[in-house]
Amino acid sequence: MMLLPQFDKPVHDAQRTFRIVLSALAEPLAPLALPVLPPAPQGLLPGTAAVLLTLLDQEVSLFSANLPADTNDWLRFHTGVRLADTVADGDFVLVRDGETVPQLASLKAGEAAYPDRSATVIIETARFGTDQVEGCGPGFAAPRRFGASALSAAFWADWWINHARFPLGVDLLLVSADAVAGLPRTTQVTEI
Amino acid sequence: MYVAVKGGETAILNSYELLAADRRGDQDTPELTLAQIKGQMRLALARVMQEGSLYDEDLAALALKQASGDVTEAVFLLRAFRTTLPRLGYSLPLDTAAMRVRRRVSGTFKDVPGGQVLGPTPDYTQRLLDFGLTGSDSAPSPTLAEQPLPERLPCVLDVLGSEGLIEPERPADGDPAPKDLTREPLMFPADRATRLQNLARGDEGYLLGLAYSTQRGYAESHPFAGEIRMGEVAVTVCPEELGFEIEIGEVTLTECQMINQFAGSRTAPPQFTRGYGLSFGEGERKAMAMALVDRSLRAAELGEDVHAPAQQQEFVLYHTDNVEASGFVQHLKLPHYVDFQAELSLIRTLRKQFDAQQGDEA
Amino acid sequence: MNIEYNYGFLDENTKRMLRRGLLKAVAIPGYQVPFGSREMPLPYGWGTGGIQVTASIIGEADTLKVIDQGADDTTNAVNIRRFFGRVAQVQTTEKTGEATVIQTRHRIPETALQAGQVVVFQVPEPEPLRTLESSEVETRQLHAHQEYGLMHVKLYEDIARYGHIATSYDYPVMVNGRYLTSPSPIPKFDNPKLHQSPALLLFGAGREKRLYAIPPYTDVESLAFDDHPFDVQTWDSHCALCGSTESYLDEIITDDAGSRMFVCSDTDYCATHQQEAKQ
Repeated sequence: MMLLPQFDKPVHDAQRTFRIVLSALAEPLAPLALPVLPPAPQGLLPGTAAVLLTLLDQEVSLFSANLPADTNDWLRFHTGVRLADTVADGDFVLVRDGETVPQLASLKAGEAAYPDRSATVIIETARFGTDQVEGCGPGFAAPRRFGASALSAAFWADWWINHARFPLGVDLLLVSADAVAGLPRTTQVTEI
Repeated sequence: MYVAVKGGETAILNSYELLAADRRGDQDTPELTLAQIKGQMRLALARVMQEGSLYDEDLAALALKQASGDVTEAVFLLRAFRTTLPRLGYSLPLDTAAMRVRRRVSGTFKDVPGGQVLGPTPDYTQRLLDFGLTGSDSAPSPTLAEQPLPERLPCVLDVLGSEGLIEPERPADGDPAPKDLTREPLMFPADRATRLQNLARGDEGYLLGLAYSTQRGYAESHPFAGEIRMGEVAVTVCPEELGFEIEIGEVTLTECQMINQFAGSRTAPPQFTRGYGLSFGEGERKAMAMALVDRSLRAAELGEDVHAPAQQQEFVLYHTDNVEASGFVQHLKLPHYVDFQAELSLIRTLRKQFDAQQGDEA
Repeated sequence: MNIEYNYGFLDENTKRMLRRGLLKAVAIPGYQVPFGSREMPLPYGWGTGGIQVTASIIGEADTLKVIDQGADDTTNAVNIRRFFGRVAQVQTTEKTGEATVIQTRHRIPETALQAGQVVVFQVPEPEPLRTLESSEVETRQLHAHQEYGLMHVKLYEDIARYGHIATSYDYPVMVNGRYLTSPSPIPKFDNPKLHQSPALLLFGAGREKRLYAIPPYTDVESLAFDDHPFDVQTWDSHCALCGSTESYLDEIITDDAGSRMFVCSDTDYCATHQQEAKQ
């Protein structure tokens, strides 16, 4: 069978996508439209495909539970990413739409001297909203309201623990079919 | 009225032209060819390849020509080119025991299996300027031995090894793949493979000075040149998709195995320890200096007192790289008006305070 | 033999490595992320870190401004701009307001930065504690434990000796209340511009192989004491060209007798001011 292609213009499409991801993390909880949407393999949103193609290669590992075999092949072929055996080993952890977000404390959180050696979690969500939390911290000119259909109240309680471990912790990218929002460990949230 | 200086771009372009003209020199003299540099400046070429971390005689010759013979600048040119090359694969470890030896000497035994082989060395020349070389018609014809050297010359240190008097050479626990310092930052503490890689890329002059310091009391060293060998070694790869080894060429290497006395520690018996040096081409001075510094950097793991500069990892390894050092030393010629202005007003303030105090005291 | 370089000079693997590093840098404001710095075709100490950061973020839609000492036309700024013109075919500008990416050495433009802009700082020594503690292993531990007593003692000794803090550039800052950070060798005059900046501030140290970032709208505090608050440089004179009394001034020696005048270090700001004065 034929593998789906990756970005049409790999160099420029990855650059444009990265700038949006960078902005999303620099100004958290503000969903930004992704500029290029590659054809998505089975079980992935197009937005997720764009983010994965932009950030992954053979130098990092990805953990994803139950990724369809074809999708797995697509990822390995286009990015060369190594697959992590356990969620605790992943440099990147992919949580597809409908899957449960793992306990954040179970992921790589870095070390005191190297807090950057920590996981980036990519969570798919069907919708963004403004109905769950209000965030503040670096990147917020003013507090901002946010919600994502993939995130539950239990998740936000877990986030509080992740935030409190700073500078250790994990960082999140929330991805819909065509947009991305960032949630770095610095973001403090209150439920609304 | 004052007008701010403009035209930086024109000035830069003009400097390129002046540089090109000075490089070419007198146009009545034939231009240097790369073949001449490659064939007749082979030691400069070896140093450029070694510190440039790229074994390519043609590119090294080009770099030397472009740099007007400035070895450090040529190293920089080669490194900047190297960084753009894709990594197609990694070779298998080179087997220096299988070297096609052209020179092999030992300072520890009068005679060694296979014999002492002087090869093309300047060691026993009397350093008198040879005015016979002022012309362009020298055509030496060396006398070659009737018997070729054996294909594998036994390693001198194995003799001590069989008696258990020298530490065995073992890979680190788990035999991890060595880091690639051209792709990853140097982190501390650095393991021996990483240190050797750093030293191999390091500036020969810097390593020479450090090595010399270990012989003058800045470290306990007591070194002996166990074996130095120079010659050609095959480079082989084993592509994953083929599953068998292919020889893709050969490189000239100089290897130095230094032997150092070691009085023993609570856990290790008294024995000889090793320092290792390896260099592209005929790089004997570099390989020997590297071996001495490698050994002194092992002080901590051997339980020796760490007090000399050549024993301190961070000090040694952070300052070996002549491309980094040359750039940072020379960046001082870039404009620093803004910082200097800040310092100027600070010094004026401090001076005013000082003068006022002096006035009070008088 | 002709070599075609990848867009932005760096290969895509290298860009991804840098990009991943930048994301962590943004997530941990002021923390120095080690990265596999590449050998660039410009010397170390001349902006290789900034160039690598710019090369990893820049694209065809960007407009690039490069300054050194605040000026667009100093030779090193010209050289870096030429480099990106050659390898990334981007539009370039001298206007701070028109730039999407500004690479700088030693200054922050006088014209207020805007949301959406990215400023890339060239950093010679990313470790603010380095002159006080030479070992990287040690300084990493000090950051890990937020143990910044060394720096406070140093500043306090300045005050005891001179009556004020004797650091005029590369004046250390606390980012987001956690990491002691070098703002790069900008004059302390520029430090207040770091605080709650609407622009994303990225820092690249090529030789030292470190990246760090200050996200937009982040608290950046210049170290000080309650009885010795932070202050910036002031001048008795104004810019001889545009008349500004608010910009950072360079001192120009105009003759052998040591006569001097002061002009803006920010050439774009100065030119704009002169233009406005004419109208």
